[in-house]
Amino acid sequence: MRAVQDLRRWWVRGSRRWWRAFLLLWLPLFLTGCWDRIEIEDRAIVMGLGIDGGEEVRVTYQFPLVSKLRPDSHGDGPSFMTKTCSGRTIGEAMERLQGQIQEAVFFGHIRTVVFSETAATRGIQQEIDFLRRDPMVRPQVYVIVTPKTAQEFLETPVKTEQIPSLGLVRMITHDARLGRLPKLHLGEFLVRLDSPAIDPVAPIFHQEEGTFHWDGLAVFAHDRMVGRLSREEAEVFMRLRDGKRGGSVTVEGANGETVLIKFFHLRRRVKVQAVGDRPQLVVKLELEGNVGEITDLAQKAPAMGRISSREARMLEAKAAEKVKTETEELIRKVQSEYRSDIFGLGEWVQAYRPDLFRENWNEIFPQVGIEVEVTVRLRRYGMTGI
Amino acid sequence: MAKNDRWSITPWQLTSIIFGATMGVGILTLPKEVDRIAGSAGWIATFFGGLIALTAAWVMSWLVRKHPQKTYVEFFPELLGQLPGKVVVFIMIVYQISVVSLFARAFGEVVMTTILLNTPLEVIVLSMVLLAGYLARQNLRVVARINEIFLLVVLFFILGISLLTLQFVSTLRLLPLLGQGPLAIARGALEAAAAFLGFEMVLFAGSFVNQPDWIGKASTIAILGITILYSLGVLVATGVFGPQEVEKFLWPTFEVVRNTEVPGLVLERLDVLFVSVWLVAVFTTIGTYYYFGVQGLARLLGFKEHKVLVLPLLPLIYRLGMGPGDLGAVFRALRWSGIGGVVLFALLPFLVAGVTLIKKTGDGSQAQKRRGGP
Repeated sequence: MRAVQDLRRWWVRGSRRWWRAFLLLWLPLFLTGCWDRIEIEDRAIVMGLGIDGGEEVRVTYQFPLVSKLRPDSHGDGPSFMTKTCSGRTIGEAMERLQGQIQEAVFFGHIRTVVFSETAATRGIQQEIDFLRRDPMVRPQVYVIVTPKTAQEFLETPVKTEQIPSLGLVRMITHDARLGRLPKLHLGEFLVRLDSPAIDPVAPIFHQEEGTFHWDGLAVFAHDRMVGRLSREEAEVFMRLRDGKRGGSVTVEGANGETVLIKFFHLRRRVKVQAVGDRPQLVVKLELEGNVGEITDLAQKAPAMGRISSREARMLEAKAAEKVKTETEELIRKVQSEYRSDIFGLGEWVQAYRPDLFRENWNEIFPQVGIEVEVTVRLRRYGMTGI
Repeated sequence: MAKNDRWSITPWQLTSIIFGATMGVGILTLPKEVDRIAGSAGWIATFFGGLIALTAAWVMSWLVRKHPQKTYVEFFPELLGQLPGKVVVFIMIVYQISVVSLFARAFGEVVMTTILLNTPLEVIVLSMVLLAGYLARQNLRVVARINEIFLLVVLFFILGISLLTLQFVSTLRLLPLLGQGPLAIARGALEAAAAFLGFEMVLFAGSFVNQPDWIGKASTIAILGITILYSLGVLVATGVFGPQEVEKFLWPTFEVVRNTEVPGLVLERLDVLFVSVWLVAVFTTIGTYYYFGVQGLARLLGFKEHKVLVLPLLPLIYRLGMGPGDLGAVFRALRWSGIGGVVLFALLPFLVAGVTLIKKTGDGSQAQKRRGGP
């Protein structure tokens, strides 16, 4: 490293050593920090942002009360507060809100953006545009829909967490890791919003007795919420789109007992074929699972039969059939009722047969023929071995 | 040749200078520029863009070796005739100076929209120009060393950040592999070549390398390295957002970094780290261009010292940088300077090389003598 040697030579041989030492000591003075710095006590750190629609946009901020967050102050009262204001646009509402808050509002730590179902149904383009333009709002923010008002959602304290927004984020990231929820933060939401080949979804949550309840997924067609998927449907959706595990399925065993099959591995392949100038899709799902539970519901007792290979094959076939029916039903529902490609099948068409892809994919998608093929492999039966 | 000679640099320092001059503002907008033309094949177009730069760099290194002990300021007029040659050299110098001011402005815009929201643009641009001017007053060896040190820093962080962002790439969004087709890739490659400007440092700095045999290899290493980094950058941006979304962002590469989560939450905001490393990369670009622009001007005007020209040029550079009214104008100016750069340094060298071959002024025997030398 000649550079290091050079630096040493500069120090050892250089003239005016004291002058240099003096300079080196003074230099840090210029590295002290930014002139527009605001102390943390003087900032109102917004962690949850709520948006309600209607005649006017109603914006709710949720911020932590920094003084209550100390470990020794488990005293009375919640450790967060909310403020709400309305305006004709989200920007106007925020301007008015700033008038109610002494501190400078800081958006750098927003973790969740909560839309009420009415606001989402009306369309969220305007609000999303605002969030995209603000350089402080990070793409890791989660977009959430709540059946009641966002204001109520953010005002209600939860038992497990001092700041509700943080608890919600923890829940979403945890569920996303388990493959139950799509990991869909604002950045990815925006990609899906803009792309003609895929439409966004957002998880629906409501609050009950101090905990969050997940109600399924909100289906968007472009920026409007057009429907919802139940929790069961969301699981099927995850198999088709983002999931890595594949959830579980319940089938009936040979002797009428109930068998729960838990999947732990999922492989998904989509083939694009042409019929005339229209695409036709074959979706292949290969699932691998375990037997999770065998219960004879009629006798209210676990059935202790050994599973033979023949029975296993039968269970596989039944499970595959069930997954296939569920998937086909969901696709049909989404195609005919919601007319929005939340599965992103358009992305496959765009990738493998760009000649068949059209910019008005939304209009084509409901008519596209989609075939589903499912194979299930059962390899192990859980710890009991029977 | 004595090692402490202020007018000689090692081949590795040439690599660093090329790398330092190239890595800069271009990386932030590149995915947008190529994806607009080549679609999902943007990263392939970028790779070919790098190869264009590499070819031009080879021609330039050949030119430099054919004219030992001379810089382009001297041998261009010899080859092209006194007046046209000097005009070409002057245009090249004007180009370098305008790059300094434009990049300083673009840098100010990025910093203002991303981290220092309330700082006046003038302060950011002026401090960058002053800093670059300070570097430009030093001699060649200092410029080379600065680039040498920062090369490792920038490489380390950029590679690390690239690896972190890779996990969010969806291969589906990178298909079809050929995007809009081979023709679009070719056009995209031309567009991408502008982002590799900085390779012309072979022409400016190559003359000072103490082992002329290594000029070609040193520039090849630098340009190939940048090509790989840039292709990776475009690949990640396209893979994360898809080609259509990439076009919508102002600074797509920065947006990728903003989207990235660091495992373990040690650094929640990777974008701040990225901007601070990128700041260093921009400084090496601006400082190096400033130095070589001023040095070339000094040689052209017959000054003994280039130092005296740094300060008089500073207000001009600052004024030029503040010229464009809004961001759209900045982008237009950047685009035109890119086109000008490609014409000057990717096309013109071929012409000059042709003239050299016809005139046979470059003495082949001399080059051979050197090869047997130290």
